[in-house]
Amino acid sequence: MLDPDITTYEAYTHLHVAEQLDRQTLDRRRFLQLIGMGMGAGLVAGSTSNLLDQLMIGHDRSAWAAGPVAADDGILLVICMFGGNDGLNTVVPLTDGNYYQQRGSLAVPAAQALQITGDTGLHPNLPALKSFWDRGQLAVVEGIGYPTPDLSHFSSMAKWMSGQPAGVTSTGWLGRWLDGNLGSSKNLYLGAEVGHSVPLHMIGAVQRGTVVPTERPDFGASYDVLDQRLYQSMRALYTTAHGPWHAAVAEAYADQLDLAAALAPLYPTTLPGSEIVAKVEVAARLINANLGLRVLTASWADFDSHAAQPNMHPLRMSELNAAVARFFEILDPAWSSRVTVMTFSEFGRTSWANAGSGTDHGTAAPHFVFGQNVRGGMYGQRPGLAGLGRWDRMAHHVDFRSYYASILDGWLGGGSSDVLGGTFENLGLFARPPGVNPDGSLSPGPAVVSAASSFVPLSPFRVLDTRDWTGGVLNRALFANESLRVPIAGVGQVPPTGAVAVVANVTSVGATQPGFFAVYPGSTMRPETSNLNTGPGRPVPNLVIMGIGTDGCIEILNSHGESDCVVDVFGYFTVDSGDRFTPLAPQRLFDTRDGVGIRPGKLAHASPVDIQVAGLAGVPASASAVVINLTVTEPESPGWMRLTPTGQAAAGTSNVNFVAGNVVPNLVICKLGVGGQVTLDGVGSGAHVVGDVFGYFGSSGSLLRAVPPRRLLDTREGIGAQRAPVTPGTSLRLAVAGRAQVPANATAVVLNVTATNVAGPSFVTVWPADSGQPGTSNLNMVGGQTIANLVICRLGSGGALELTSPVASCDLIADVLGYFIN
Amino acid sequence: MPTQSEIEHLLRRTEFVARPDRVAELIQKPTLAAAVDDVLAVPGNPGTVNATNPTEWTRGEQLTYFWFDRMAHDSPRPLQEKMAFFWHGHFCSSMKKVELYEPMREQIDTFRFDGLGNLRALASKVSTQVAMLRYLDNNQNFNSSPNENFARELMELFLLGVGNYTEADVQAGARAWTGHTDVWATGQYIWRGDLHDGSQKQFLGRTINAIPDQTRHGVETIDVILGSPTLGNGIVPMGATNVTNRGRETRLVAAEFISRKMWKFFAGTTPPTAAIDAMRDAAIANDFNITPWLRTMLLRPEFYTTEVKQGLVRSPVDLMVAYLYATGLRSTGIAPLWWLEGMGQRPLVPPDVSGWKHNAYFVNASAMGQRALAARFFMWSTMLGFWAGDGLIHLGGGTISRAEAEAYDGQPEQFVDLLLARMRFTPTQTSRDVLYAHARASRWWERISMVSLVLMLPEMNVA
Repeated sequence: MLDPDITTYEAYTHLHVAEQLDRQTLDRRRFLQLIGMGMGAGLVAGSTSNLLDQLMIGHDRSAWAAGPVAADDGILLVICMFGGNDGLNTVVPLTDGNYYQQRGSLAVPAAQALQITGDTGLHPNLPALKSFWDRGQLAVVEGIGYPTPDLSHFSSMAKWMSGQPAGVTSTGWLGRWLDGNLGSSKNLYLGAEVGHSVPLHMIGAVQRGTVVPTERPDFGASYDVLDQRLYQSMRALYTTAHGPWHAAVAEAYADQLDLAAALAPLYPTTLPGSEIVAKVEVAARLINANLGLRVLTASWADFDSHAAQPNMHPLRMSELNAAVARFFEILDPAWSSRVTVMTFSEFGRTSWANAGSGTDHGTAAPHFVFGQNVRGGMYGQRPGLAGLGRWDRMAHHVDFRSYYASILDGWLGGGSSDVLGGTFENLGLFARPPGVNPDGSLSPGPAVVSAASSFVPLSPFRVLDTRDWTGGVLNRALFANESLRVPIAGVGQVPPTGAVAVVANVTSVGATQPGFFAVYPGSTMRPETSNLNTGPGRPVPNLVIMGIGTDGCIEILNSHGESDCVVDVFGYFTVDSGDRFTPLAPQRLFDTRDGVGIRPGKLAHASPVDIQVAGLAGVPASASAVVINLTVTEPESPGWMRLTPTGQAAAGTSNVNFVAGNVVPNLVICKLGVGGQVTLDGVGSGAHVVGDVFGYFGSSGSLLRAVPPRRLLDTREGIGAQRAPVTPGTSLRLAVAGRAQVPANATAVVLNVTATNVAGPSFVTVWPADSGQPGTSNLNMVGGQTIANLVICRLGSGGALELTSPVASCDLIADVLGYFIN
Repeated sequence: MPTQSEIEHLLRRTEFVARPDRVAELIQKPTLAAAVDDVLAVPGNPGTVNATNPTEWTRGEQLTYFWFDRMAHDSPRPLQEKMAFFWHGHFCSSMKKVELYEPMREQIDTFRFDGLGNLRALASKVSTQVAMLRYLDNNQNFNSSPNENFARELMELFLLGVGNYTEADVQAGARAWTGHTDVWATGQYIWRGDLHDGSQKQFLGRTINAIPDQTRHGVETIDVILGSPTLGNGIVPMGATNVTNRGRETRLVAAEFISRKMWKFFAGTTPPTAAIDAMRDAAIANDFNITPWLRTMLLRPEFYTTEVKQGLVRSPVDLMVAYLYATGLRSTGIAPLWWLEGMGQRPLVPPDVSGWKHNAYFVNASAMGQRALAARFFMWSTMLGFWAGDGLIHLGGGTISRAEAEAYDGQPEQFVDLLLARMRFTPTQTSRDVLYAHARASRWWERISMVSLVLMLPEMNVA
């Protein structure tokens, strides 16, 4: 009998295109793991309607950006071996005489195999997998196959990928899992194939995985001026005036631009040469970036060793080994307890060697599942070789649906019977659920996007001062690389529940070395972001709007040297009732240098001045609180200043700290007091003060969603903009909506903006794109300084901001902390 | 007289693009019916390709390029090629499984030559060609071990739709088709009477395979499905899962099934019942002759609603034709097939036996990225000599010289209008305004790259 061998690599691309309708309906409630992001309306589909049609038209644009990976979410990397991997030479039956007889010279000598049990050895080129075994983190599942095996590469791979051993195979098992998770909502970042097209296993009835290229995505990721203009024009083409498909096409183009811009910075300049090694490195980088990805797939070939197998199979094993090693080298260890890797192939190979030093298409084969939370050991049953003739195939003992069910139920949150259309045995491959460490402790999870929340302004109060044990947390300076959890929920006037984010001024005092503070939600993984730049000399404050962790805390990390830390709270955001935010185009409210909105002349020591806010600069009379960037300039001696609601007793807090000659800004969110006024006072012999308004809180407007801090712009690295300093006379356009979990319909964004490599005295102005540069400032700096300030700014056209440094060039960094949404 | 909007819509859906000269020609017709008849008047011999490339695979590419050029430039009535592409996506076979060029060419040419002929003849012919025998494994369908793959799909996907037959009909059909196989080494068709099951069978309520000519036994299943004066009309069995159709004549069910598929392909929207009924009646009245069947669809008022006019995304093949027409380029080397694969539609390589779908199937971020890359490649290809050569951008409606581009430096809107005229493309006012704004922000040497922006317009991507 001839094998029906359609063995070309191209044959598999056949499996890489989509069909849309499946007969199964999934109960997506069973899968729902997502929180925070807007889920689309429930899907209504009749037998004649096209589910994808409904998906694309009128889907919720706010569900555009990435969903978060929750603390108990498992992440899966699926490695696919095209061509039929030789299972017998991968997991070698060391003591089976039949194997050595039937394989002849192709057999792996027992002495060379990496022995893992008395009768089992791994291929000698798999030491990385052996080390997982040695740590008890490698599951070897033997004898996987399916009833009435098909010997065609195409047909058998279709069955494996679909998770259906019979019938029309038009959707894949992971695609149906995506369906169950997402329903009809849209998320580009839940599942991705690292490759060039969507494989069948990532195609659902409604959803499909995103394709992430092996190379840095080109179109959409360039910061060349002409390319940027092209992208901008492409985005401007969106309109619903010409029917749903016209709009859907324009939207999909914008999608592609968003995706490329988001992914391009994750790619290193050079990737490993070996295809699968490069692909898994990209996969690891995608996981590290915490885009929300739960399932990643990658594949390579060729395993179809009909002839000259000794030249082919050992090489594939080396590549697999290198890929495993590289993946875990790149993967941030913080993710270890959440990531599992599995392998599959369309079939194994014949136990008998053929006349051409090869093996032919077989059936059952072993596969690997490994990762920190895998329960290492041998699973399934080894197919017997006794009595097999030249063209006989091995019996299978584990249905591939059982293999999948073990992954789905053990690692991906359940739902195997919906995905697989029946109940299949869970092999129990996992020792612990995702996120749980071997000692039973929970790994800090990546932070999540908070629920939409409204603002409750408070009279300022101090929750932490490490110099005098205020707050009772610490009474010494923070050491280098030490992090401190600062309780917020239930402290002072902040309620114990319902508060999702805090507005606080964090100040570094007495820092011994230049460094930074990173602030992030308590009990979450430390992000790559920073909030304020510490250093010897004056105290450095900065406002933060930060999600409160599940432990009720925010966490503050001191990067270098030692530094005391002070935290003053100005209000909190809650899911219960509170005030909503209305962003304004930046406008100057008062300036003591020219007497705009305030009595002219320097503010004297301890001489409070009332400033009218309500009714001015776009702030209505009904406003309850205002967002002001307060800048102190020309101070004559060291001191500090603060804003207090007029009519209320000033507390022991501060907003801006300075020494003589500084120009220092800080963002302030202050409750409005009697008559819609705030009171400004301070310590120091005299200084000019300037106030710019960026928005206000009141009964209507937008709600805040605090997001895990994430870097949106770094001109030193080419993230979010060209890799070049911002120069005077130019403005940098920063796309915000659609990136870093900020949805397309966000109205305003909370950014921490840092200037560094500053060439000389200058300032930074941030404003909504295409709304005209205002006469306001957000950040003031001198040459050589690194300084940060919080910015809350309305998003302009295309969901973008513009930034400029008009006097001297500098590098700019922007970390997103939250966004406002209607 | 037909309206301009009707003619443009008719041409976009039947001839890939609304060529201005064709619009001018058809707008003169006294009635829409006369215009439709003109579209349907396809040449008897559309020609074929003489593929000379060295390998099976690259000869397949040559055929694809030939076909693209027929669609975009060379056919006087491109509906012929469009209809052929419809059948290619219906009676699917794939180069990936067939592995041989010649059987694929034979099948594609059958669709091209006979695609507007008769469905009964077309289905019968395709069934025993090597491409189909290989693709759906009928070459391994023997009396000793029947392979049901082809017999099942013949009913499920090609003629009747799922649920309108029983497993017994599949088994009987499979046995009727035994004996049609190929010589694996040469790819030649061969009849193997010794492998055929010549016994009489019950199929969709009729007795088949009583005739002595055993090579006709398989085709009798098609005759029963589509109705036969000698064998009788097939009946949807009472054991079929489609309750509504139980007891109905299968020829009616088949006519409705394929009418719906035609509607989805040409109109893109959910098929309206009245239109499907009318198309079914036309198919039955003309014994499945395709031209009057299609004509009925193209004259239905439902075909000219706003919903239908806005209801179809250009498939990648449609898009490639639109690009080729706008730029005047010929396809060889210009329409690289890997991009079509990335967009989700590569001719000769359908995704599976159920063929390509429409609309949302092609609209996703990665597929649009491929469309954008293709647009940029087309743009570069139009101006290979612009900076160091003939100094021209070559477009479908003529050239733009460096001197012209430079002369329009201060007149951005005029440059855009010139570009659109040369590309023979009329966008919506919204898009034209975006193009104007883009041109105003650019200098003349930057503007020439706007060829790609025009190719990326949403209206270029909808049919």
